[in-house]
Amino acid sequence: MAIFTSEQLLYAAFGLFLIGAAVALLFGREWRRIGYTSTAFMLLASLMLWMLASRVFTSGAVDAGPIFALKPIGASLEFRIDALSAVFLLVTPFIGLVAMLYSVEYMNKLHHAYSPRLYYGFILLLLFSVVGVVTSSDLFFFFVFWELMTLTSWMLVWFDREDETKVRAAWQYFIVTHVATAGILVSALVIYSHSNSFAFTDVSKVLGTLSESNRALTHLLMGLFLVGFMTKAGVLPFGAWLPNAYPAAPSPASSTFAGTMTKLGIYGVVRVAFGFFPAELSIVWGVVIAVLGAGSIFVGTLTALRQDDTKRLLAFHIIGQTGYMLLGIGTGLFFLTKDPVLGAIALVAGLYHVVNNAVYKPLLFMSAGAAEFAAGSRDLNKLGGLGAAMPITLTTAVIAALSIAGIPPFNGFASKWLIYQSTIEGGIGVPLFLLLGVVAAFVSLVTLASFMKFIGSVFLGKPSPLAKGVRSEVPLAMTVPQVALAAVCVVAGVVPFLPLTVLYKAASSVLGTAMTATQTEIFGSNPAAITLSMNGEVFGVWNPAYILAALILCSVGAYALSRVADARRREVPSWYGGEEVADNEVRYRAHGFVLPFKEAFAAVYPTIRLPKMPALKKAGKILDFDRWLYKPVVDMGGRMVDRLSRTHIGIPQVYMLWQLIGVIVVLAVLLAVLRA
Amino acid sequence: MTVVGGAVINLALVVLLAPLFDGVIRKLKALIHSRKGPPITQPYIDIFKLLAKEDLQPGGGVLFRAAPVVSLAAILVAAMLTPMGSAPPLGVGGDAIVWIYILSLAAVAVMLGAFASGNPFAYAGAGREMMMLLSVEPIALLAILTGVVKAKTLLLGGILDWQLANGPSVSMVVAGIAFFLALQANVGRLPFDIVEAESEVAGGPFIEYSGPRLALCKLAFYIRQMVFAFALVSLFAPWPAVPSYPLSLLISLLKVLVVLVLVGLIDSVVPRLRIDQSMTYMSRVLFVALGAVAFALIGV
Repeated sequence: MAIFTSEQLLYAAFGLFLIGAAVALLFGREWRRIGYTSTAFMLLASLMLWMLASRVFTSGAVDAGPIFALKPIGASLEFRIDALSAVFLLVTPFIGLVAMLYSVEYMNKLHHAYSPRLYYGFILLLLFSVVGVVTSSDLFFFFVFWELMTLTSWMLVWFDREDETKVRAAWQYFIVTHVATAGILVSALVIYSHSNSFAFTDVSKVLGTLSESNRALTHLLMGLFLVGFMTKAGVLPFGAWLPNAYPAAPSPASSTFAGTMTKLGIYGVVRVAFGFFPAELSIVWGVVIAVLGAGSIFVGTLTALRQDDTKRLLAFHIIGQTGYMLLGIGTGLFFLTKDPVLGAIALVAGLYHVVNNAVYKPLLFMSAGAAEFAAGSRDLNKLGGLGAAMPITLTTAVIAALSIAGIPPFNGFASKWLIYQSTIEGGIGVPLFLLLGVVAAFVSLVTLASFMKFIGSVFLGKPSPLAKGVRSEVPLAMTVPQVALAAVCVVAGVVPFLPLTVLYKAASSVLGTAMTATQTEIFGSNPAAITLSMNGEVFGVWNPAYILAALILCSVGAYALSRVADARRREVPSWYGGEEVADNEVRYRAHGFVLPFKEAFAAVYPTIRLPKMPALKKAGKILDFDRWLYKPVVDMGGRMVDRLSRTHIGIPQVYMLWQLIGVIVVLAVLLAVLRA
Repeated sequence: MTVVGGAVINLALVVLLAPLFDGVIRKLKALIHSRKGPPITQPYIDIFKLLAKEDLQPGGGVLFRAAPVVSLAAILVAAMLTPMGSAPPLGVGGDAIVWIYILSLAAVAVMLGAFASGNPFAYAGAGREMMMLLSVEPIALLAILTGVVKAKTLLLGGILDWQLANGPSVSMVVAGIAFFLALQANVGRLPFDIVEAESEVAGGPFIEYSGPRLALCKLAFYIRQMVFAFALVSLFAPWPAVPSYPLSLLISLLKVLVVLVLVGLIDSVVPRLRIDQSMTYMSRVLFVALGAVAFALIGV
């Protein structure tokens, strides 16, 4: 069966990404054609990576390389794919693939004026670097891939260059992430100065000895790493760039970011916090990560509730959802030494949420994109009633919304359930975690409110004037990705055994010898259910098979009851309390949904007004690239073009004069050259 | 087999008795208002009548039509997860968190149906439903978490067993008070019938429902009442421990009746609150619930 070795699979995938990107950059002319070509490259590369990942799950970690080494600095391009990398190799190419298929029609309609070269070229390069980040086992090249990922995604945020706010968002993204990445770089260099090697294995060895001799420095290094990764993942207070940058990119690009790039921030946190640093640091940083996570959940989600722009709303939810992942991972880190089984549960819970979020978040961006595609707006107050013409988009959007809100039996519930379990179980010993768990559970409802608003005002209700012209569902190339993601949402929720098996392997590959319990000991022997135990007693249980069966039986019974008397059905107009008004006059706008609640929490995400300081203002001017670099250059170009256009005054004689002068000049030059 | 048998008993109990208990409340309200009132079987008569009435639909599609079905089904599943005289029959399928989230699935179905109806009254009602959920659910969660901290398990049956084995404790009494203070809102009774508020939003999410689908909504309302009352008496006041299941079920039913009579009494003497007043009230009850958890954590 093994036609390729594992190494070949990896290199083939890398090659396919690069060739695909080169093809797109060189030959991309027609949006649709290059779109399908890039999707084909993406599909082939994904198949390679999935084969590789399945090999890792069945027969253990794979090493590849070194391809080449930079001897003088001790860096070499090496790869190691363990189960944690393999999880990301399963998920990220899948999201990249469906988002790319989705973009074929979407980009063709909404961004037709731009060249497709940059879009498809950079998306493929982005995925190339994503795969590089999760597979490389050398800190130097990890950093190189990381930087490539930032640059390519920055180009995509910057895609719509006409719009000033989008350009500003792109610059903000660029600057903030680079400041944060500098932290990772400094950290890496400090470690290098002790180890003279960038290999992951050497790094963790050096940090082990360093924590004995210089504990404060190790803490500082951990802090720098985490700030860098958390900025990318969008954790407050470092993730403030995110709600500006994500909406600026085209919807399929936002989907790709949400399903791949932000998740790599979490990958970095797990890799570094569990893999690099010794266990002595785990208690302090476990609390820090969990508290930052809970803070992000609270502030991000409550702010999301106040947004009236579909994509901005979704971007704030990324901040909130990332918080859940970090809450799980932080809890896992804290209990790593105190209660290894609980620590493993919490880590798996966090990773489970990463995977689930990587599925439903891109789907939600696609729903918002489909609404923009059909009705041409992202304003929740102006959209409405699109579901009647777009039943498939409506169904998938409802599944995604219920998933993100953690409603059973969808996948978001399963991972949130595990996070609650671990925080509550931990909270019995350490009350702080109980509080964090309660915050997470409460905010889960706020998420629900936010997505009730999203579904209710985009897809349901009476059609708004904008939606009146929408007659048909979005094209097949856009519905297929949505249906594929929605199906994963359902399967990953109803059959938690599948993702848990994979994630248990990922957690054990990170924890190494610290993972003492088998999968059966942690999640119970019944594969249909998750059964958690504490001191031998059952602590919590979630059996989606039973609950779903009961739910379906009861639904059938309830439906049968409603039809028992065979009541007649009749279509009637809506009842407006006896008044006859046009549907549009009595539309309830999204802004008013749960308004009293929003007002009660308005202070959560304040706009900070800094005191006016002339020095700061000057510094601001210096940092404002738009003003002293971008705008003058553009102005200069504009003036040049102006001057040139002055020669074009539309009188034939003048043109003939120019031609004559031109001929004379050419002749003179020719003569001069021939003479010499 | 015990799972299925117990589940059927729970289902039969709530489906058959919930309308009767509502009839008792209605009779009681009538007596307080010095009216004669309808017979206590009136809710059954209402449901039978509605089942045969015309089913009017203002467009709305599948979501509008499926919402009452899913909402009732979710509440029925919650009934199977609720301890009624013994450990919950479907306890092997889900714990306290599942119980809470299945109940919020019912609310989600109601909201989606309301949005799908396209009626602005329904939209306003859905917003109110969401705000009630936001302010009430954390209290129920914290009250149950008090029991979780005590019993060291999230299984509702485990909390019940712990209560029976250990007798009353300060934290559980406080948690029970918090749960009771939020009960009125959980069962949608005055002063918290803000979601339906006939005189303001004309039935809110249910405005466009009629005939058999309204019958499902009404049945869901009655059953919800009973599920919450059972949760209160089983988790926070399950004493005395009786070994025989039929007897303990009978005692629980009597206690549920007492609780619902109390609910009816409050319902008939207080006026409706505004949604913001209700949220302020609930935020205070939240502190009582937090206090209960704190008590449990220090071990009283």
